[in-house]
Amino acid sequence: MRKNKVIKLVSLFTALSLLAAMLTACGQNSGDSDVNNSGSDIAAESDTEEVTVYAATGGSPKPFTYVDESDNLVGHNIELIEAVFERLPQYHLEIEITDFSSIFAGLDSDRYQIGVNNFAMNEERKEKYLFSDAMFENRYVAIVAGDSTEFDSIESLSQFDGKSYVGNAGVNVTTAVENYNEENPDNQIVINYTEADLVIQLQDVEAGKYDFLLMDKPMYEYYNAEYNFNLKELDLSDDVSSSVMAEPYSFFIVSKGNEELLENINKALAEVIADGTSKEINEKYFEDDYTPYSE
Amino acid sequence: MANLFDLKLVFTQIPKIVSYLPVTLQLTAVAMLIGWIFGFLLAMVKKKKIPVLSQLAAVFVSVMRGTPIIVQLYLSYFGIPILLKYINFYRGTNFNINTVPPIVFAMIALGLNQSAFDSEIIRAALGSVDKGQIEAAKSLGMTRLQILRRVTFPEAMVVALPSLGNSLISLIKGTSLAFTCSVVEMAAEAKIMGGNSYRYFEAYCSLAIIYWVLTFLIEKIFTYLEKKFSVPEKAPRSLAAAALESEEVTV
Repeated sequence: MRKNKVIKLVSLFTALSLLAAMLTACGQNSGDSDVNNSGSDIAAESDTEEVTVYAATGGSPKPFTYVDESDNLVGHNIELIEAVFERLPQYHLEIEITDFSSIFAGLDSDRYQIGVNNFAMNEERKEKYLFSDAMFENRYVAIVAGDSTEFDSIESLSQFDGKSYVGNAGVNVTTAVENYNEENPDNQIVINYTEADLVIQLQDVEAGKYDFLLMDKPMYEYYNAEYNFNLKELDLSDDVSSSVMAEPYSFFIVSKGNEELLENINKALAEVIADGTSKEINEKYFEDDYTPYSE
Repeated sequence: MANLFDLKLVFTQIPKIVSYLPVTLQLTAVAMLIGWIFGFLLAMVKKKKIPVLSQLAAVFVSVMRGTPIIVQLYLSYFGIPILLKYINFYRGTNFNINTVPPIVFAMIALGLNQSAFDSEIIRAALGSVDKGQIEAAKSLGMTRLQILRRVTFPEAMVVALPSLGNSLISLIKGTSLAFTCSVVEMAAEAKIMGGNSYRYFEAYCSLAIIYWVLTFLIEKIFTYLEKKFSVPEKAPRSLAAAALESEEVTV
């Protein structure tokens, strides 16, 4: 008798699991069928056929790429790449959201052809991937405690001589402060390295534990809107800005071997910038225009 | 004062994360089945000491248990496309990996990983069945299938269940890494929501609550199953005998 019950229980469990598995398979199939039809190897593209291009994003940081309350992938980078591909009818763009480090693994294995995550350029990345033309021009600010009245803006890092700075090791803003210290052995800024979240760092500056930190302006403004810190942002002069980052631009990255795709993206990106679409998108997300206009 | 921890958000965002529970459960259910079935086969191969196969099984189990699950997910999701690229290049074929839904890769990777652990559990459980019991069954004239069904399986099940429950719980938590294969399940959704609200800490707190409740339920189910499957130490007595015995004690 007992055995029968046991067998029933086990078979019920198995049946339920199988049902779940089948539901998955069905759901996946119907969702992906349209992709299958248009999907074909990028390398084997022909001009008549619409080619599916897969882009990957990490879904963070906001407002560059994020998922909104109604589950739509949105953000400055996302709208911009969509605007670019609206001008490229020969391609069909699929954007997938994935873990940040998976973007690179996916580009290496050609699972994805484009990485969309407000990528900055560095030598290592430049060796491995193709970079589009600049699509975003960043601006940096110095963050000090809210009741500080010492400065209105930063003309030179020497204004911070003897003050304490907090930042992650190895990031461009910290490197700029390190370089300043190296060039000015008599006037040192005290560097405090940390692995803490930016929120904690901002909180420490607010509490007076450290005197200042450097970060990008649009990010700071979003953080502040959420956390409502008692902090002050000071604009950096062009000199200081370029010491923080000589080329403060962000790019789309494309996996190697897709040179033709890159060329088309650049052509369309230039159009998007020239006709004001980029400006519109920037103002929507930042209330300011960060479009990189070529001189 | 800055708004550093949003306790309300921890609870208000739970329903939204739970809406991805089906994905987590699908991953778990399929990986669990693969784990059990393939794990049983591996255990049999090892137990019967089938030449070549048993050595291969040993290597497989060792590699699967000895490498992090996140690495295995990476290898399956990104390694297979690289392999396919080479095959396409050298054989002139035109396979496209993107037509296979990502969740399949996660299911296979998690399932194979699970099978390595389960095979050891099942092998140990099968080995724990007393030879005398099987000999007794044989002497009663039972067929091999009957022995498996009536003696080996029920007894091995009692030994295997707690460990299988344990490995199922670690599998559920393992599914939280499926985002590396672009599968949006509960942990991925929490990360995505953190990306929107800048409140990762709160998102991870919500996630902790959900996973804990989930594993708590599974623990309960397995405790119930263990009770159901348990083989009593002594042969069950009739009610009359029990009554008689208790009477003797009180007298």
